[in-house]
Amino acid sequence: MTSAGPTPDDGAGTLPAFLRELTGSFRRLRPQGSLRWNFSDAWVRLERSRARLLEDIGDQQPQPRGGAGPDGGERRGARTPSLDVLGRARARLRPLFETAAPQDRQDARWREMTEALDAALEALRYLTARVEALEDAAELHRRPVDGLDWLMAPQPLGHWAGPVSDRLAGAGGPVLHAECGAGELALALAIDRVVEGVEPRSGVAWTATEAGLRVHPVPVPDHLAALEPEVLGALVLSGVVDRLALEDLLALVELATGRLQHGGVLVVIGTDPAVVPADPLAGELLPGHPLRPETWALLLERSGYREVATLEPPAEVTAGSTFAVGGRRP
Amino acid sequence: MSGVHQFVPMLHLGDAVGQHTEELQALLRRLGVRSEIYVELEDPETGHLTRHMDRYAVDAAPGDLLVYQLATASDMAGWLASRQEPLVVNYHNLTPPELIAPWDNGLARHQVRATGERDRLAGRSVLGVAVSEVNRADLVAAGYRATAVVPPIVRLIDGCGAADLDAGGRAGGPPEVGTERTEVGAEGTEVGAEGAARPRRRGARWLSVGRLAPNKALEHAMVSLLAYRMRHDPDAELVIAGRPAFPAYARALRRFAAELGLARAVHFEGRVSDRTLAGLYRSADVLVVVSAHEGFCLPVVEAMAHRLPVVALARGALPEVLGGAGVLLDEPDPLTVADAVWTLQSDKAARARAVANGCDRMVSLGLAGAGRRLVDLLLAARDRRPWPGEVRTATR
Repeated sequence: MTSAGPTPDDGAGTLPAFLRELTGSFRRLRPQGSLRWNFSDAWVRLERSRARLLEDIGDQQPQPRGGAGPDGGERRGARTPSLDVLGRARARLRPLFETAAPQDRQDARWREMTEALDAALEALRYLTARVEALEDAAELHRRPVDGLDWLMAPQPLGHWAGPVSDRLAGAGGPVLHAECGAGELALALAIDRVVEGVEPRSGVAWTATEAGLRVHPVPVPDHLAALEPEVLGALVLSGVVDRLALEDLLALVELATGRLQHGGVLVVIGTDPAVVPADPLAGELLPGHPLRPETWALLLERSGYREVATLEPPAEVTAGSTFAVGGRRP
Repeated sequence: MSGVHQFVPMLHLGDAVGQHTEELQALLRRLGVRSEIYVELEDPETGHLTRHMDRYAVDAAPGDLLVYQLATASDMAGWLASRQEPLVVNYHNLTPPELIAPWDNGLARHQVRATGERDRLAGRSVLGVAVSEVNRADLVAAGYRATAVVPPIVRLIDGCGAADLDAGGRAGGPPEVGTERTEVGAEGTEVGAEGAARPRRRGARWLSVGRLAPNKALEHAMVSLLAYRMRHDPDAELVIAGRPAFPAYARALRRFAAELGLARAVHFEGRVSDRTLAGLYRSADVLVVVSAHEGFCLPVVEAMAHRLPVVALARGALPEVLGGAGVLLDEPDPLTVADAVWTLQSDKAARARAVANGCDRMVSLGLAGAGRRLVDLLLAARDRRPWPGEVRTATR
């Protein structure tokens, strides 16, 4: 991880890096593959290699199927290309088989080998079709959380810098704030730490980037999933924790825990559920409801965190608007 | 009586290859040459114009020349390879499978197959005709011994017809910068694609034309638009005209636009009529082409004909087609794209220069004479005459 700090527009600075990552984030919407691997690329390479192999073998003496006769009509009786390829492959590979098997077994061994290869390829085709069907199904059932991100403006959280900074005391390693919004809190924490942000709303992320924060413009679960295990000294979660359904929150906490070093600190800044009904848009559109601080404390304790406590709110926080709960990974 | 007959897997209306095939047939027939179009699969819209390829066994005459319009994979390739008549491959480019694979495995495999078919026809063809030098390089690499480059025969949409091509396209001169280019409908609205009204715009209008396919890299255009809105013009918008050829890619683009906060700034018009497309060219401020691969890119020509400046990425045939007109960028860096568009929007002289260069380029591309040149090549092949000078031959 790199820290906040470079000026936004220097050649290798924050803004170009942000834009590259923003454009690259489109890849996660591919139905076949992910940010780190792609099933289809491998599949195409396999098909291409096979085609080249067959072409290489078959091109020794082309015998086209159904060629035209001297009168321009169809010529009958030409061998089909596939049989021709097998015949030529057999001839080419015969020396190998001569050392591997007695003469009377060579043809049988060749047939076994080609049948095995064809069966493996066919199995891969079925697997491809199955993977595609599963991916399509997953796409259909995906919750529309990310699609709604842009509707909701992030809350400024800079006033939490004091209490959060105190809670992070003793936590070594880089700090990640996700979602960081316009970056107020992350930038305040970055004074004496290496801090990065995650913010899926690109316009908001742009603002944070121009302020000098290194921001990853992708959904929080995607970014955490892409990190190596146990790399973070501390993780501050906000925004996303107010929108997810309970089962997704549990998955997020599990994911976050795996990315924290032992002794690392997790801080959750949530919106008091009591204030949510005041926002009819959020009330109607959110698939999940924010949790209360007590519930978060329970959730962190059940997830194995120690020293779980609600942070003392700063004076600027309007009573009941936001809260923060922190814990340390054993 | 011998003829020059074309073979195309399917003949589609409104598709560049289909248009080229139809125009070529018309030119040949005008010269009294027998010319039919044979297909592997019939398109209901064009069935009356075509014959199934099996029928050729009956129609064949001594001295025929066969022309294969190659843009996709087809059993037709193997069938043509087995014929004895001289064959010309008219190559319209194949999108690299790597670009397609993450979005559609089936189509990617189809492209792999098409590439193999193209290469296998090398030894069987008397001539390979490519629509651009980039495509010719593919043919040469595949082992085609005689090759030529002839641009596609195009029937430009209304507003940029043959008169523009022949007269240098400058009859009207470039439009005044700042001139209202938008077709205004009812008060406060504009006429969008297919007559739909949308709120009257305040910002710059970027245009992208072409099917929604991964090689078009429209995600780059969207991020560039975001950069443009953040930097220069918060009301700028992007209009994308083209059919969603890859449903998964089209869905992803819509979702990406929403995630970028551009759901109301990016307009997906789908496949549009020629009339609507002409309106879009007239109402746009810039054509943005950030494709990762292009075999020719007819929209660039159409934009130049409509005196619309072009910002394009130097990939595939785009440098060749643009030929110094418009703005050509080395990398799809969003800030660079945004700044290039802004220069055209804010610098009157730069815009006028780009428009004038585009008009000149349209003429130097030689589109008006493309049909005649291709016919000359085909008749030379049929009659076994020496090749015209533009044919390059390689020894094996």
